Amino acid sequence: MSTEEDTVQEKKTISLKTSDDEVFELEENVAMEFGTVKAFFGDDGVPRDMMMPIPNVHSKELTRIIDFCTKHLDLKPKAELDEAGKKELRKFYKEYMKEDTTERIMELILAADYLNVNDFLDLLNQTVADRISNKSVEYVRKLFGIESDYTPEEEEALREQYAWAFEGVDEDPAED
Amino acid sequence: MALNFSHRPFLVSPMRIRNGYLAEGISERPWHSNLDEGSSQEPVSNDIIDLLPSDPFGMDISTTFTAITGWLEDLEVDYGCYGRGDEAGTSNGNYELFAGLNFIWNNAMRFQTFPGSVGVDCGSKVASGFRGKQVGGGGASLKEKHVCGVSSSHGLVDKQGGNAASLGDGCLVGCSEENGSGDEFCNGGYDGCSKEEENADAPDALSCQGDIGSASAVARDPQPVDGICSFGDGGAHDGALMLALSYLGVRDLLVVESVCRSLYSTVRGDPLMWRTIHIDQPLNEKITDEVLLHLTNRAQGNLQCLSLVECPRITDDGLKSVLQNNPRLSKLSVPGCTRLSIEGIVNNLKAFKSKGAIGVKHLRIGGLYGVTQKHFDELRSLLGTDCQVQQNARKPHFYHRGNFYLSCDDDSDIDIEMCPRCQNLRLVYDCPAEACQGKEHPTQLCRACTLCIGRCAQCGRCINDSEYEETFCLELLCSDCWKQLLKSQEREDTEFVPSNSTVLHEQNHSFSPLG
Repeated sequence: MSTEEDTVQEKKTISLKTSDDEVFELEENVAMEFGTVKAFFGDDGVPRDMMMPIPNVHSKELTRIIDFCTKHLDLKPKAELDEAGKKELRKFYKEYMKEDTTERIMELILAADYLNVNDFLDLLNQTVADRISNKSVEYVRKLFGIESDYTPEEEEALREQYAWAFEGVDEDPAED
Repeated sequence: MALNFSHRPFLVSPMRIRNGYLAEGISERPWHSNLDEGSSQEPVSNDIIDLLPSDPFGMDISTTFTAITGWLEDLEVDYGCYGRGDEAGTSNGNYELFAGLNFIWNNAMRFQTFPGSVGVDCGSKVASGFRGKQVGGGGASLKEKHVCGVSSSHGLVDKQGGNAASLGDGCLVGCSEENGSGDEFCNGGYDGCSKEEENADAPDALSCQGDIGSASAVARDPQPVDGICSFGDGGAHDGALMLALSYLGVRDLLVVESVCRSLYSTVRGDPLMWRTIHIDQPLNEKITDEVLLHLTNRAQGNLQCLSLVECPRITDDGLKSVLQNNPRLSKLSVPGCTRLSIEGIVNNLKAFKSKGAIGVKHLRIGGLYGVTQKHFDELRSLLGTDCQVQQNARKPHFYHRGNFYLSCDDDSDIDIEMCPRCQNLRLVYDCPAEACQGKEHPTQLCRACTLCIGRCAQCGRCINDSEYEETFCLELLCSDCWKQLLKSQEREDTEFVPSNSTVLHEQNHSFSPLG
């Protein structure tokens, strides 16, 4: 198991350099959750001790992604074992993004997309989708800070066009 | 509903005959004109009507009848346009009145007077709409709003309905007279035109004035205001939002379209976003053939998976049009769509395959009745899978809310199978009850359709021999689930439910656990 190369550390680590020139060292199994990293190093070829630049990702995002992957790696095998594990994983998913602003989530989505972290990307997108789901148009606008560029008549037309589908939209939650 | 009124004028109730005697006053019935006017002490006739008391309960029937007649006659005037086309044909005015009555009763919540004429005159107006929210959603004949949608790729829609060229794909128009020919006129118009009543004078609804068409594609005015996400400069949100949008359902996509122009063109114009269309609660009750066609057309021929769960307004013809336009469809799921027939499905799939398409590989038709072995075999061959392999690889399918039907994700070619007990081709469920596990012999397996083995709607356990409750919605609940339901209802009454849409959604929808 221990190889000639691993004289310094027991666990192999992979180095990533972010857009703000910070270098992160992470365990290989965590790093391999990133599809991009996995593809970069491949099965052989590129030596593992080479530092991989990820110019599209800021350290702030990377920290978070690493955090997710670490926790996720821990919970996933438990979830496959039994129901309690599954429940815990579900809870983890539910709680993990609760505190983040939508803005933050968007940034994370881009980072996770670049790094190809499928599970996290899934969760992030689903979180955004849940926040949009069943809300009014105004609410979505506020959420993303988008201003409408429709004329009032156009708005009215759209509202009526889709009114059949909009019954039962949740009341917008109170402003934060 | 069969009010047996007639057009025989009776200004005064015929039942003025009391106890077999003509009441004082005039005999209004012409056929009795030979009878005495005025009071007579002799029995008027042997007709039973004459013998019956006129107003046994003292309800002053005459007034009521007059009122009703008057009301119905008013209806005839107001809604006579519905019978317009048939005027020559109808033998009497009953048809119009029944049509009007039917219309009223089906749209009871929405009865209101209208400023203008009620029928939509397609020649003059393309669209009109209702003010405010619709009430009483869910009725099968809930009227549709039909408003001219804006099309990003075509020009503006003209107020004059005749401008078919500019309607294009964005227009959702219902035409009262042109229901059948809706297609070329309005690609994606709403159904239910004969039922509509709308503000004939709501031209604002049209408001396809303004440069939506031309501007939408490039509506990227940078908004310099702080905190405003500008799509124009390709900010972070643009790409990220795009990714998230693909997780949204149809209804939410429609919301997003209305947010701003660039999102409108993004959502509408991206066929990838419409590759899988899943229609479930609450849109299922409202979606019609035209709307479905309109939505599926957004995929621009790339539709791969179409899932219509319990959509009672979708017809065989509607499905046919969708299939014609989407040769790449490989998964079709239409469980519980009551207007679809098994013959229709078989024919549609045959026609679909014969056009050279690879054909549908996964079919879900649970809830369709009358499937014979012949249909089943034909479908199987159309789906083109190896029968034996499929049967063996089946995962257990448990019965509970939200899982009545097999999903598109499941790999089986077809969801129905032969029930081991009644031999009919229906959805067959397995049993999660511990007592029913591990049975070796096929005849002992707790595996059958719901007609043969009743199941709890919450947990899916068989309840044939044990105690159960029938809920208000005619679902069966085993005693354990029933107790749980009672408990959670108590809890809900006392607890404050935070306005988290997901949570609310789950709780409103069902009490069953996720998944």
